[in-house]
Parts: sequence; structure tokens; C-alpha cells
Amino acid sequence: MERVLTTLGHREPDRVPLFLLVTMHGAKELGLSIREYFAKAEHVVEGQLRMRAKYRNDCVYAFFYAPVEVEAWGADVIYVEDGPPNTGRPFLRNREDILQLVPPRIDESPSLLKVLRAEEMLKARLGDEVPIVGVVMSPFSLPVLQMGFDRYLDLMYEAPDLFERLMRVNEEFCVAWANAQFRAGATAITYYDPVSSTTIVSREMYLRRGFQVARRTIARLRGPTATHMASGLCLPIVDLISETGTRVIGVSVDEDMARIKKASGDRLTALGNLNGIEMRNWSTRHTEQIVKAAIANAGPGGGFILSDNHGEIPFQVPEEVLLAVSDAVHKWGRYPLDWMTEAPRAHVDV
Amino acid sequence: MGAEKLMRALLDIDRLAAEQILTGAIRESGLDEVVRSMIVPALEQIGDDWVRGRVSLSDVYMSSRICEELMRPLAPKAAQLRQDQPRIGLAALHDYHLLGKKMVHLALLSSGYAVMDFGQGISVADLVRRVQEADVEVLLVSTLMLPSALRVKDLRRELDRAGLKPTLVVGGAPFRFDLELWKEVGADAMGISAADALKILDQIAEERAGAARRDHELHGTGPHDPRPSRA
Repeated sequence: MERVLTTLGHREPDRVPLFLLVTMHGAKELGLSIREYFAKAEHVVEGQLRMRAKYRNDCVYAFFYAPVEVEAWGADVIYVEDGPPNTGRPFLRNREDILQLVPPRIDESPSLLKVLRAEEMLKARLGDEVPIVGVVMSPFSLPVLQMGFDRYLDLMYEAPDLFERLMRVNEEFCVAWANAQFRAGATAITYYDPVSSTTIVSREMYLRRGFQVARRTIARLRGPTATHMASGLCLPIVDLISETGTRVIGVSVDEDMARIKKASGDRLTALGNLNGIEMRNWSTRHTEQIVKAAIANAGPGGGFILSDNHGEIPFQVPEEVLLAVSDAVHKWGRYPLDWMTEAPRAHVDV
Repeated sequence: MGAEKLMRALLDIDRLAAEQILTGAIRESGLDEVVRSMIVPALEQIGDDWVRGRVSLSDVYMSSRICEELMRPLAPKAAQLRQDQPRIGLAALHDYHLLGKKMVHLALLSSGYAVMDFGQGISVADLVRRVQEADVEVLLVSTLMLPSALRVKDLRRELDRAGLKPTLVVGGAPFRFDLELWKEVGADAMGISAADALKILDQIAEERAGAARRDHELHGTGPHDPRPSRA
């Protein structure tokens, strides 16, 4: 925990922290299908503990799958054998349904209760040894799963009153859901907000919509947050993101983590930005090069946590690559990063 | 110049201005000219600007939507402009995320292409059947999730097994984050944006015309290289 807290304070800890955000790999560890694995909190707890030991991870990740929230709202979850569960047909079929929409009760939603149970068990097992990272979908991004991406964009541009009503309903849910996770034992919450990314909406739209929602929501949460754009770009809005009260920003592989840190005035810690999709085919040697480059770029001065750029490592990434990531951060991530200033030989890719 | 004015109106989500620009231009230059010199370049530029991080996906989506709505009454006429076009099928394989597919569809319709939409969440077997029934010549497949993108390999295998040889064009986030993935799954081309889909189809149409004219002087249908768009 100390390692993470130090880097969040933009100081150099003993080593660059590693947040290997593995979810489905726990099913492999336990010899279960993905569907079986996520059916019980006990499975996820055991999977996270085993993966933490195997990969020497500096956190455990209490994220189950993206539709876990909309499952509580009545959406279907579609399981596949080799990937994350997917959301089925959106449950908000008409815009007008928003007028009658009420958020589900956390304590009456089995999908949410199993996540809370996992967090309670992880807290009981780990105490404050490492952060237990929970997840919420931001009120501004949740509608993609509630009503479909195209119809949500239509709503955003064409029906401001209904949009505002949907945000208010989602904010109530998000605050209740995040705070329930803090009560259960989560140390921090990842506020997934990909729609706010400038990959999806302009800075102007973010300022008018997603930023306002984030500021209102994060202010009501009873613990620290990390904002994540799930591979989307954030540099053009990083100044605004740092004003939402969040402490960490998940950085896309398409962006420079050092620039993100600088642009936030060192108010945000950069989390990232290994390319999870490409990672499937990395060799051990290439993995070491990539990790070393990320550390050289964003490591100096702290304010950096090594992770993937999406917040979920694909099921297809082999164990050998994950072990190579861990080995590389343990080899090259020890502070002070003297190898960066030693003989030029040390700079060349290994 | 006209394309730039149209692009500005579209990015401002100014439907009225876009309508006035298009109506005036069609009256002056005719539909054919407007599609080729205004709509296609404007949509391609907006798509390229998204790839370069200059505009957002919502800008691309709204621009395509406005264009398609304005062109809808003229769609039958617009489709006649491209009499040499291949039979085009479009689907989101396995995925239920349909924004990417919809943006490609809107951009193609606005540009005078006729597209058979096979929907989303479609299985490999069902898609092969639809390709066979409709005698599809160019199959555009959109995916968001990595497992869906990897299933394109199964799709290619089943198409081959059925003796079907459509030009298989893929797009979506997994292909954007791994620029080699389209080759790995056996696709013929990959597009990063809806604008790329337009360019690829234009290239295919050009090659078809060229093949007929010049007895295969041009190369065969080569994969669209996405790298320039990422520069």
C-alpha cells in the first residue's frame, strides 16, 4: 500500500507499482469457464489472490465484468467462452422510458451483491496490504449499455431534458454503488468514463456534460477514485479531469504518459499504458522493451503506475507475457531509476 | 471548397446550413458531382480527422447521420450513380455494439452505395448463409470486442469452405489497436474509420472498372494499408 500511496503523492517509492488488471485469467487459474468463475464471489476472490501471488501484483481487482451494473437494471448478460461477458439488447428501448426510470436497489441486486461480497472477503484476507480496486461505470458512460451508443449520442444532442434526467438517475445509482463498495472494503474506485474521452466527444461537450457529471458524482464518493477512459484519449481534457477530484488517470497507448502527468500539473498519477490487444503476441524480450520504455517515460518522480491501457487484460494474453511484464517492472522499475542516467548502453533496448 | 463548407456545417451539427449547401450545389452541379466532390471528401476528411484525434467520434457519427438524412430522399438516384458498385454486405459479427457498423452504413448510403445490413450479434454460420443468399461481393465486418475480431478467422474459413470469395473488409477497435490483426484473421483489408470503408470501396470499384478496361493491368485487390491514416 505504501508503494502506491507514495507514487500517488508524486514521490518515488521503492519500485514502480504494477496494477495488472487481470479479470478473466482467474477462471484459468481455477479451471473454470468464465461463466462459472463469475457466478460466485468466492471464485473471484480465490482467482485474484492466486494471480496476485503469481504476478506479484500491487493490487487486487474487484471488477467482474462491464454489464454487472446493467444486469441489476434488468439487462441481459451474454457470456462467451473466450472473452468478457457482453451486454445484450439495451433495456431502454425508447427515450421516453427515461421518465419512468428508477435505479435498482443495491441490496436487492444479486449481481452487485456478489461483487460486494468479493470485496468484503478480499478485505478480510488482505486488510490494508494492497489496494482493493473496485469499479463503477460513470453516469455519463452507463447509457451506452442502457440504451445503445447511437441512441445515446442522439439523446445527448437532441434531448437535453431527457439527457439531464438520465444523468440524475444514474448519478444516484453510481454514488450508492460506489459507496457500497467502499463500505464493503474497496480502497479505491475506478470511475470508468470512456464516453468522456476526446476519442468519443469533444472537449466542449465534455465540459458541458461529462465533466459536470463527474464533478458532481466524485464529490459524493467516500473514498479516492481513478478515472479511466478505457483506451480513449484524455490529453485535451486532462486539466479538467484533474478538477473532478480524481487522483489517477488511465492513459491510452496512443498518448504520452509523461505529457499527461505534466499537463495535469502533477495532480494526476498516470496509470498505463500497455497495449492489451497487441500483448497477445508479445515475446518475453519485446515485453521487457515495452515495459522499460514505459518506465523511462513516466517513472521519474513517481506519479506512475504500470498497467494496461484499457483496464482489462484480454483473456487471450498468455501467462508468459504477464509474467514477463511483472519480471520487467521488478527488474527496471526499482527507484532510483539509475539505469536511465548510467552508461548509454543502459538506454538501448534490451 | 464546397466540401470544406459542408464539413464545417456538419461538424457544427448545423443541419439547416448543410441542407442549404447541398441543395444549392445539387441545383448547380448535379447530384453526381455533389456526391463525388462534396459528400465523399467531407466524410472522408472528418473520418481522417477522427483518426488523427482532431474531431470526436460523436462528430463523425452526427455528420454521417445528417448527411444520410439529407440524402435519403435522393437515395434511389444516388445509387444509380454507382452502377458499377459491388454487392455489399455489412454486419457486426457476434457483437451487439453497433455504433461502428451504423457509422459505416450511414457514410456509404450518403455516398451512393447500396448496402445490405445483416445486423448485429450475428453468428459465423448465419453470416455465411446471408453472404451466400445475397451473393455478396464485398463483406464489411465490424467488431468491438477482441473475441469477435478473432472470430473473423472462423468466418474466413467457413466462407472458403462454402466456396465463397467475397472481399472481406474488417474494422473496429481491436483492429485499430493491433495493426497486424486483420492479416492474422485472414481479412483482405482493414479500415480504421468509416472514411476508410469509403476509400476501400472506391478502390475496389476502381479496380473492377480498371480490370474490365485494361485487362488486369492494375494489381489485384490489395489490402488497404491503414498506416497513413494513423500518421
